[in-house]
Amino acid sequence: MEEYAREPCPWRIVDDCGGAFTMGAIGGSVFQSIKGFRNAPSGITQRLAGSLSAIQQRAPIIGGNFAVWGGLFSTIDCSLVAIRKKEDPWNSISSGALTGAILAVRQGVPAMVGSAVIGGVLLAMIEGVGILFSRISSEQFKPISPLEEQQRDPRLFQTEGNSGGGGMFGFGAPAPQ
Amino acid sequence: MSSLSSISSRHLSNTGLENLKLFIFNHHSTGRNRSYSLCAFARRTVWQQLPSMHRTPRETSRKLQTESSSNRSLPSTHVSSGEKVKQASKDVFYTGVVVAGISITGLLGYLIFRELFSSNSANGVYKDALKLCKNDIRVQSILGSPVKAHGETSRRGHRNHILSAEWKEAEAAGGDQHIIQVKFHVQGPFNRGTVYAEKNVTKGEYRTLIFQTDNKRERFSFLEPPEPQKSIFALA
Repeated sequence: MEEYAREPCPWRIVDDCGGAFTMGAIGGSVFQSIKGFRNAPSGITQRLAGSLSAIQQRAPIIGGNFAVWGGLFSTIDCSLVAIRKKEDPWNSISSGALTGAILAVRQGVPAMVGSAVIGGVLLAMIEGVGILFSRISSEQFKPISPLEEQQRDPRLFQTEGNSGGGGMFGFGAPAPQ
Repeated sequence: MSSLSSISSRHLSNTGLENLKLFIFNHHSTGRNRSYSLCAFARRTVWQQLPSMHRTPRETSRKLQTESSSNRSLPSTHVSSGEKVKQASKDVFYTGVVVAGISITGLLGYLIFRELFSSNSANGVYKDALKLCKNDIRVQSILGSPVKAHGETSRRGHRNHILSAEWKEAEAAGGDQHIIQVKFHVQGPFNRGTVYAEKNVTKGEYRTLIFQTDNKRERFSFLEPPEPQKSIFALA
Protein backbone atom coordinates (compact mmCIF):
# COMPACT_ATOMS: atom_id res chain seq x y z
CA MET A 1 0.00 0.00 0.00
CA GLU A 2 2.97 2.27 0.49
CA GLU A 3 3.51 2.95 -3.21
CA TYR A 4 -0.07 4.12 -3.60
CA ALA A 5 0.31 6.66 -0.85
CA ARG A 6 2.63 8.97 -2.74
CA GLU A 7 2.08 10.56 -6.08
CA PRO A 8 5.16 9.64 -8.16
CA CYS A 9 5.08 12.52 -10.52
CA PRO A 10 7.18 15.49 -9.55
CA TRP A 11 9.70 13.32 -7.66
CA ARG A 12 10.05 10.92 -10.52
CA ILE A 13 11.95 13.57 -12.50
CA VAL A 14 14.83 13.49 -10.02
CA ASP A 15 14.71 9.69 -9.89
CA ASP A 16 14.84 9.41 -13.67
CA CYS A 17 17.59 11.99 -13.97
CA GLY A 18 19.77 10.13 -11.47
CA GLY A 19 18.92 6.74 -12.93
CA ALA A 20 19.82 7.93 -16.42
CA PHE A 21 23.10 9.43 -15.16
CA THR A 22 24.04 6.15 -13.52
CA MET A 23 23.11 4.17 -16.58
CA GLY A 24 25.07 6.49 -18.87
CA ALA A 25 28.11 6.58 -16.59
CA ILE A 26 28.27 2.80 -16.21
CA GLY A 27 27.56 2.07 -19.87
CA GLY A 28 29.95 4.82 -20.94
CA SER A 29 32.68 3.45 -18.67
CA VAL A 30 32.39 0.00 -20.20
CA PHE A 31 32.38 1.38 -23.73
CA GLN A 32 35.18 3.90 -23.17
CA SER A 33 37.39 1.39 -21.34
CA ILE A 34 37.32 -0.88 -24.41
CA LYS A 35 37.86 2.07 -26.75
CA GLY A 36 40.73 3.47 -24.68
CA PHE A 37 42.32 0.03 -24.43
CA ARG A 38 42.25 -0.44 -28.19
CA ASN A 39 43.49 3.04 -29.03
CA ALA A 40 46.39 3.11 -26.55
CA PRO A 41 50.01 2.35 -27.51
CA SER A 42 51.07 -1.28 -27.09
CA GLY A 43 52.05 -2.71 -23.73
CA ILE A 44 49.58 -3.75 -21.06
CA THR A 45 50.43 -0.87 -18.70
CA GLN A 46 50.00 1.72 -21.43
CA ARG A 47 46.75 0.12 -22.50
CA LEU A 48 45.31 0.07 -18.98
CA ALA A 49 46.39 3.69 -18.50
CA GLY A 50 44.76 4.62 -21.81
CA SER A 51 41.61 2.81 -20.80
CA LEU A 52 41.51 4.62 -17.45
CA SER A 53 42.10 8.06 -18.93
CA ALA A 54 39.39 7.47 -21.55
CA ILE A 55 36.95 6.59 -18.77
CA GLN A 56 37.96 9.69 -16.79
CA GLN A 57 37.51 11.95 -19.78
CA ARG A 58 34.38 10.58 -21.41
CA ALA A 59 32.23 8.62 -18.95
CA PRO A 60 31.02 11.65 -16.92
CA ILE A 61 30.11 13.44 -20.14
CA ILE A 62 28.11 10.47 -21.40
CA GLY A 63 26.44 10.19 -18.00
CA GLY A 64 25.58 13.89 -18.13
CA ASN A 65 24.10 13.57 -21.61
CA PHE A 66 21.96 10.67 -20.45
CA ALA A 67 20.89 12.63 -17.37
CA VAL A 68 19.77 15.56 -19.53
CA TRP A 69 17.76 13.21 -21.69
CA GLY A 70 16.21 11.39 -18.73
CA GLY A 71 15.40 14.53 -16.81
CA LEU A 72 13.82 16.31 -19.75
CA PHE A 73 11.90 13.18 -20.73
CA SER A 74 10.48 12.77 -17.26
CA THR A 75 9.62 16.46 -16.98
CA ILE A 76 7.63 16.34 -20.21
CA ASP A 77 6.05 13.03 -19.22
CA CYS A 78 4.87 14.47 -15.92
CA SER A 79 3.57 17.60 -17.65
CA LEU A 80 1.59 15.46 -20.09
CA VAL A 81 0.17 13.41 -17.20
CA ALA A 82 -0.94 16.62 -15.50
CA ILE A 83 -2.50 17.98 -18.70
CA ARG A 84 -4.15 14.80 -20.00
CA LYS A 85 -5.04 13.35 -16.56
CA LYS A 86 -4.33 9.91 -17.97
CA GLU A 87 -1.27 7.70 -18.11
CA ASP A 88 -0.85 5.52 -21.16
CA PRO A 89 1.81 4.64 -23.78
CA TRP A 90 1.05 7.86 -25.71
CA ASN A 91 2.57 9.92 -22.91
CA SER A 92 5.95 8.28 -23.09
CA ILE A 93 6.06 8.19 -26.89
CA SER A 94 5.19 11.85 -27.28
CA SER A 95 7.56 12.91 -24.51
CA GLY A 96 10.36 10.94 -26.19
CA ALA A 97 9.69 12.76 -29.46
CA LEU A 98 9.46 16.16 -27.73
CA THR A 99 12.68 15.54 -25.80
CA GLY A 100 14.49 14.71 -29.04
CA ALA A 101 13.13 17.85 -30.68
CA ILE A 102 14.02 20.14 -27.76
CA LEU A 103 17.57 18.83 -27.45
CA ALA A 104 18.18 19.39 -31.18
CA VAL A 105 16.66 22.88 -31.21
CA ARG A 106 19.99 24.60 -31.87
CA GLN A 107 20.62 22.52 -35.00
CA GLY A 108 17.62 23.79 -36.93
CA VAL A 109 14.20 22.48 -37.86
CA PRO A 110 15.27 19.47 -40.04
CA ALA A 111 17.54 18.16 -37.27
CA MET A 112 14.72 18.68 -34.77
CA VAL A 113 12.30 16.63 -36.88
CA GLY A 114 14.85 13.83 -37.34
CA SER A 115 15.68 13.78 -33.66
CA ALA A 116 12.00 13.80 -32.71
CA VAL A 117 11.28 10.84 -34.99
CA ILE A 118 14.22 8.91 -33.53
CA GLY A 119 13.10 9.70 -29.97
CA GLY A 120 9.48 8.74 -30.66
CA VAL A 121 10.36 5.50 -32.43
CA LEU A 122 12.82 4.55 -29.70
CA LEU A 123 10.25 5.05 -26.96
CA ALA A 124 7.56 3.29 -29.01
CA MET A 125 9.91 0.31 -29.33
CA ILE A 126 10.48 0.30 -25.57
CA GLU A 127 6.71 0.36 -25.04
CA GLY A 128 6.39 -2.43 -27.61
CA VAL A 129 8.88 -4.55 -25.67
CA GLY A 130 6.81 -3.90 -22.53
CA ILE A 131 3.63 -5.00 -24.31
CA LEU A 132 5.40 -8.08 -25.69
CA PHE A 133 6.60 -9.12 -22.25
CA SER A 134 3.24 -8.49 -20.61
CA ARG A 135 1.67 -10.62 -23.34
CA ILE A 136 4.13 -13.45 -22.78
CA SER A 137 3.66 -13.34 -19.02
CA SER A 138 -0.03 -12.39 -19.09
CA GLU A 139 -1.11 -15.58 -17.32
CA GLN A 140 0.94 -14.67 -14.26
CA PHE A 141 -0.20 -11.07 -14.05
CA LYS A 142 -3.80 -11.47 -15.02
CA PRO A 143 -5.99 -8.71 -13.66
CA ILE A 144 -8.09 -10.01 -10.82
CA SER A 145 -11.69 -8.98 -10.53
CA PRO A 146 -12.76 -7.50 -7.18
CA LEU A 147 -15.31 -10.29 -6.87
CA GLU A 148 -12.63 -12.93 -7.30
CA GLU A 149 -10.43 -11.05 -4.85
CA GLN A 150 -13.19 -11.15 -2.28
CA GLN A 151 -13.68 -14.87 -2.72
CA ARG A 152 -9.97 -15.43 -2.17
CA ASP A 153 -9.63 -13.31 0.92
CA PRO A 154 -12.93 -12.13 2.44
CA ARG A 155 -11.20 -10.58 5.46
CA LEU A 156 -9.90 -7.75 3.31
CA PHE A 157 -13.47 -6.61 2.81
CA GLN A 158 -14.62 -6.74 6.42
CA THR A 159 -14.63 -3.04 7.01
CA GLU A 160 -17.00 -1.38 9.43
CA GLY A 161 -19.50 -0.29 6.80
CA ASN A 162 -19.52 -3.39 4.70
CA SER A 163 -19.26 -6.80 6.28
CA GLY A 164 -18.25 -8.29 2.95
CA GLY A 165 -19.45 -11.41 1.29
CA GLY A 166 -23.00 -10.16 1.75
CA GLY A 167 -24.23 -7.71 -0.85
CA MET A 168 -22.24 -8.06 -4.05
CA PHE A 169 -22.88 -4.56 -5.30
CA GLY A 170 -24.00 -3.11 -2.00
CA PHE A 171 -23.57 0.60 -1.46
CA GLY A 172 -21.87 0.06 1.83
CA ALA A 173 -25.16 -1.20 3.18
CA PRO A 174 -25.14 -2.19 6.83
CA ALA A 175 -24.62 -5.87 7.42
CA PRO A 176 -27.77 -7.87 8.05
CA GLN A 177 -28.05 -8.57 11.73
CA MET B 1 62.75 33.55 -77.11
CA SER B 2 59.91 34.52 -74.87
CA SER B 3 57.45 34.25 -77.73
CA LEU B 4 58.55 30.71 -78.46
CA SER B 5 58.17 29.64 -74.90
CA SER B 6 54.74 31.27 -74.68
CA ILE B 7 53.58 29.45 -77.84
CA SER B 8 54.82 26.15 -76.63
CA SER B 9 53.39 26.55 -73.16
CA ARG B 10 50.02 27.53 -74.60
CA HIS B 11 49.77 24.16 -76.33
CA LEU B 12 51.16 22.19 -73.51
CA SER B 13 49.42 20.42 -70.78
CA ASN B 14 50.32 20.55 -67.14
CA THR B 15 53.31 18.30 -67.59
CA GLY B 16 54.86 20.85 -69.92
CA LEU B 17 54.37 23.62 -67.37
CA GLU B 18 55.83 21.45 -64.67
CA ASN B 19 58.84 20.81 -66.85
CA LEU B 20 59.20 24.55 -67.43
CA LYS B 21 59.15 25.29 -63.73
CA LEU B 22 61.62 22.56 -62.99
CA PHE B 23 63.83 23.78 -65.79
CA ILE B 24 63.85 27.39 -64.59
CA PHE B 25 64.55 26.30 -61.04
CA ASN B 26 67.46 24.11 -62.08
CA HIS B 27 69.11 26.36 -64.62
CA HIS B 28 68.65 29.72 -62.94
CA SER B 29 70.96 28.75 -60.12
CA THR B 30 73.58 27.07 -62.29
CA GLY B 31 74.00 30.21 -64.46
CA ARG B 32 74.35 28.45 -67.78
CA ASN B 33 73.60 30.09 -71.10
CA ARG B 34 69.95 30.81 -70.66
CA SER B 35 68.95 31.51 -74.22
CA TYR B 36 70.38 28.28 -75.51
CA SER B 37 68.91 26.13 -72.87
CA LEU B 38 65.45 27.73 -73.15
CA CYS B 39 65.49 27.06 -76.83
CA ALA B 40 66.49 23.49 -76.29
CA PHE B 41 63.80 23.09 -73.69
CA ALA B 42 61.16 24.40 -76.04
CA ARG B 43 62.25 22.04 -78.78
CA ARG B 44 62.25 19.13 -76.41
CA THR B 45 58.85 19.87 -75.01
CA VAL B 46 57.25 20.35 -78.41
CA TRP B 47 58.74 17.10 -79.60
CA GLN B 48 57.47 15.30 -76.55
CA GLN B 49 53.98 16.73 -76.67
CA LEU B 50 53.24 16.79 -80.38
CA PRO B 51 52.41 13.14 -81.00
CA SER B 52 49.85 13.06 -78.23
CA MET B 53 48.30 16.35 -79.42
CA HIS B 54 47.51 14.80 -82.81
CA ARG B 55 46.06 11.65 -81.40
CA THR B 56 42.29 11.45 -81.07
CA PRO B 57 40.85 10.59 -77.67
CA ARG B 58 39.49 7.29 -78.96
CA GLU B 59 42.90 6.19 -80.07
CA THR B 60 44.34 7.18 -76.70
CA SER B 61 41.81 5.20 -74.77
CA ARG B 62 42.25 2.18 -76.99
CA LYS B 63 45.97 2.34 -76.59
CA LEU B 64 45.67 2.72 -72.82
CA GLN B 65 43.33 -0.20 -72.69
CA THR B 66 45.61 -2.51 -74.63
CA GLU B 67 48.54 -1.42 -72.57
CA SER B 68 46.80 -2.04 -69.25
CA SER B 69 45.39 -5.41 -70.25
CA SER B 70 48.70 -6.63 -71.52
CA ASN B 71 50.57 -5.47 -68.42
CA ARG B 72 48.15 -6.73 -65.77
CA SER B 73 48.08 -10.35 -64.74
CA LEU B 74 44.51 -11.22 -63.80
CA PRO B 75 43.94 -12.80 -60.35
CA SER B 76 42.85 -16.39 -60.36
CA THR B 77 39.08 -16.86 -60.50
CA HIS B 78 39.25 -20.29 -59.00
CA VAL B 79 37.52 -20.59 -55.57
CA SER B 80 38.04 -23.70 -53.53
CA SER B 81 34.95 -25.53 -52.30
CA GLY B 82 35.98 -24.95 -48.67
CA GLU B 83 35.98 -21.20 -49.25
CA LYS B 84 32.65 -21.47 -51.02
CA VAL B 85 31.10 -23.26 -48.05
CA LYS B 86 32.62 -20.73 -45.66
CA GLN B 87 31.27 -17.78 -47.64
CA ALA B 88 27.87 -19.39 -48.05
CA SER B 89 27.53 -20.09 -44.32
CA LYS B 90 28.62 -16.53 -43.57
CA ASP B 91 26.00 -15.21 -45.99
CA VAL B 92 23.31 -17.39 -44.46
CA PHE B 93 24.26 -16.27 -40.95
CA TYR B 94 24.22 -12.56 -41.80
CA THR B 95 20.98 -12.91 -43.74
CA GLY B 96 19.52 -14.66 -40.71
CA VAL B 97 20.60 -11.82 -38.42
CA VAL B 98 19.11 -9.22 -40.75
CA VAL B 99 15.84 -11.14 -41.15
CA ALA B 100 15.55 -11.70 -37.38
CA GLY B 101 16.16 -8.00 -36.73
CA ILE B 102 13.60 -6.90 -39.27
CA SER B 103 11.00 -9.37 -38.04
CA ILE B 104 11.45 -8.44 -34.37
CA THR B 105 11.23 -4.73 -35.23
CA GLY B 106 8.18 -5.44 -37.38
CA LEU B 107 6.51 -7.43 -34.60
CA LEU B 108 7.14 -4.66 -32.07
CA GLY B 109 5.91 -2.05 -34.55
CA TYR B 110 2.76 -4.08 -35.20
CA LEU B 111 2.09 -4.62 -31.49
CA ILE B 112 2.51 -0.97 -30.57
CA PHE B 113 0.50 0.20 -33.60
CA ARG B 114 -2.37 -2.17 -32.75
CA GLU B 115 -2.19 -1.22 -29.09
CA LEU B 116 -2.37 2.48 -29.82
CA PHE B 117 -4.78 2.71 -32.72
CA SER B 118 -7.13 -0.26 -32.44
CA SER B 119 -10.10 -0.29 -30.10
CA ASN B 120 -9.74 -4.10 -29.92
CA SER B 121 -6.69 -3.82 -27.71
CA ALA B 122 -6.03 -3.44 -24.02
CA ASN B 123 -5.32 0.25 -24.47
CA GLY B 124 -8.48 0.69 -26.52
CA VAL B 125 -10.60 -0.97 -23.80
CA TYR B 126 -8.85 1.18 -21.18
CA LYS B 127 -9.68 4.34 -23.13
CA ASP B 128 -13.31 3.33 -23.62
CA ALA B 129 -13.87 2.12 -20.05
CA LEU B 130 -12.27 5.29 -18.68
CA LYS B 131 -14.66 7.41 -20.71
CA LEU B 132 -17.64 5.48 -19.29
CA CYS B 133 -16.17 5.82 -15.82
CA LYS B 134 -15.63 9.57 -16.07
CA ASN B 135 -19.16 10.12 -17.34
CA ASP B 136 -20.72 8.10 -14.52
CA ILE B 137 -22.42 10.24 -11.90
CA ARG B 138 -21.68 7.78 -9.08
CA VAL B 139 -17.95 7.84 -9.81
CA GLN B 140 -18.00 11.61 -9.98
CA SER B 141 -19.70 11.84 -6.62
CA ILE B 142 -17.34 9.36 -4.96
CA LEU B 143 -14.04 10.58 -6.42
CA GLY B 144 -14.78 14.20 -7.14
CA SER B 145 -13.59 15.98 -10.23
CA PRO B 146 -11.20 15.87 -12.10
CA VAL B 147 -10.72 12.12 -12.38
CA LYS B 148 -7.18 10.99 -13.19
CA ALA B 149 -6.37 7.50 -14.45
CA HIS B 150 -3.24 5.40 -14.45
CA GLY B 151 -2.01 1.83 -14.70
CA GLU B 152 0.15 -0.23 -12.41
CA THR B 153 2.97 1.58 -10.67
CA SER B 154 6.32 0.20 -11.70
CA ARG B 155 9.36 0.15 -9.46
CA ARG B 156 10.60 3.36 -11.07
CA GLY B 157 7.36 5.25 -10.66
CA HIS B 158 6.07 4.85 -14.19
CA ARG B 159 2.38 4.14 -14.26
CA ASN B 160 1.50 3.76 -17.92
CA HIS B 161 1.38 -0.01 -17.97
CA ILE B 162 -2.21 -1.21 -17.80
CA LEU B 163 -2.65 -4.67 -16.35
CA SER B 164 -4.39 -6.71 -19.01
CA ALA B 165 -5.07 -10.16 -20.39
CA GLU B 166 -6.69 -11.30 -23.59
CA TRP B 167 -7.80 -14.62 -24.98
CA LYS B 168 -10.13 -16.26 -27.43
CA GLU B 169 -13.20 -18.15 -26.40
CA ALA B 170 -15.01 -20.60 -28.62
CA GLU B 171 -18.72 -19.98 -28.65
CA ALA B 172 -21.34 -22.20 -30.25
CA ALA B 173 -23.02 -19.30 -32.03
CA GLY B 174 -20.75 -16.71 -33.60
CA GLY B 175 -17.39 -18.50 -33.62
CA ASP B 176 -14.37 -17.30 -31.67
CA GLN B 177 -14.92 -14.49 -29.23
CA HIS B 178 -12.05 -12.17 -28.40
CA ILE B 179 -12.06 -11.26 -24.73
CA ILE B 180 -9.94 -8.51 -23.17
CA GLN B 181 -9.60 -7.90 -19.46
CA VAL B 182 -8.11 -4.71 -18.08
CA LYS B 183 -7.66 -3.23 -14.65
CA PHE B 184 -6.72 0.36 -13.99
CA HIS B 185 -6.73 2.89 -11.22
CA VAL B 186 -8.68 6.10 -11.00
CA GLN B 187 -8.39 8.88 -8.49
CA GLY B 188 -9.96 12.15 -7.72
CA PRO B 189 -9.62 14.77 -5.01
CA PHE B 190 -11.78 12.80 -2.51
CA ASN B 191 -10.93 9.18 -3.08
CA ARG B 192 -9.21 6.60 -5.23
CA GLY B 193 -10.54 3.47 -6.81
CA THR B 194 -9.97 0.64 -9.23
CA VAL B 195 -11.88 -0.22 -12.37
CA TYR B 196 -12.01 -3.77 -13.60
CA ALA B 197 -13.34 -4.40 -17.09
CA GLU B 198 -13.88 -7.50 -19.15
CA LYS B 199 -14.98 -6.84 -22.69
CA ASN B 200 -16.00 -9.10 -25.54
CA VAL B 201 -14.54 -7.03 -28.37
CA THR B 202 -15.94 -9.31 -31.07
CA LYS B 203 -19.45 -8.31 -30.01
CA GLY B 204 -18.29 -4.96 -28.68
CA GLU B 205 -19.99 -5.34 -25.31
CA TYR B 206 -18.77 -5.40 -21.74
CA ARG B 207 -19.26 -8.53 -19.70
CA THR B 208 -18.03 -6.96 -16.50
CA LEU B 209 -17.32 -3.38 -15.61
CA ILE B 210 -16.83 -2.89 -11.90
CA PHE B 211 -15.70 0.09 -9.94
CA GLN B 212 -14.44 -0.32 -6.41
CA THR B 213 -12.88 2.22 -4.09
CA ASP B 214 -9.48 1.24 -2.76
CA ASN B 215 -10.77 1.26 0.82
CA LYS B 216 -13.37 -1.30 -0.41
CA ARG B 217 -16.31 0.58 1.04
CA GLU B 218 -18.03 1.13 -2.27
CA ARG B 219 -18.42 -1.17 -5.19
CA PHE B 220 -20.82 -1.22 -8.08
CA SER B 221 -21.13 -2.32 -11.65
CA PHE B 222 -21.60 0.24 -14.39
CA LEU B 223 -23.65 -2.29 -16.28
CA GLU B 224 -26.44 -2.22 -13.72
CA PRO B 225 -28.58 0.88 -13.39
CA PRO B 226 -27.94 2.96 -10.25
CA GLU B 227 -29.99 1.88 -7.25
CA PRO B 228 -32.78 4.28 -6.52
CA GLN B 229 -31.52 6.47 -3.70
CA LYS B 230 -33.83 6.93 -0.78
CA SER B 231 -34.53 10.52 -0.11
CA ILE B 232 -33.70 11.60 3.42
CA PHE B 233 -37.05 13.40 3.53
CA ALA B 234 -39.04 10.29 2.73
CA LEU B 235 -40.44 8.55 5.78
CA ALA B 236 -39.48 4.97 6.01
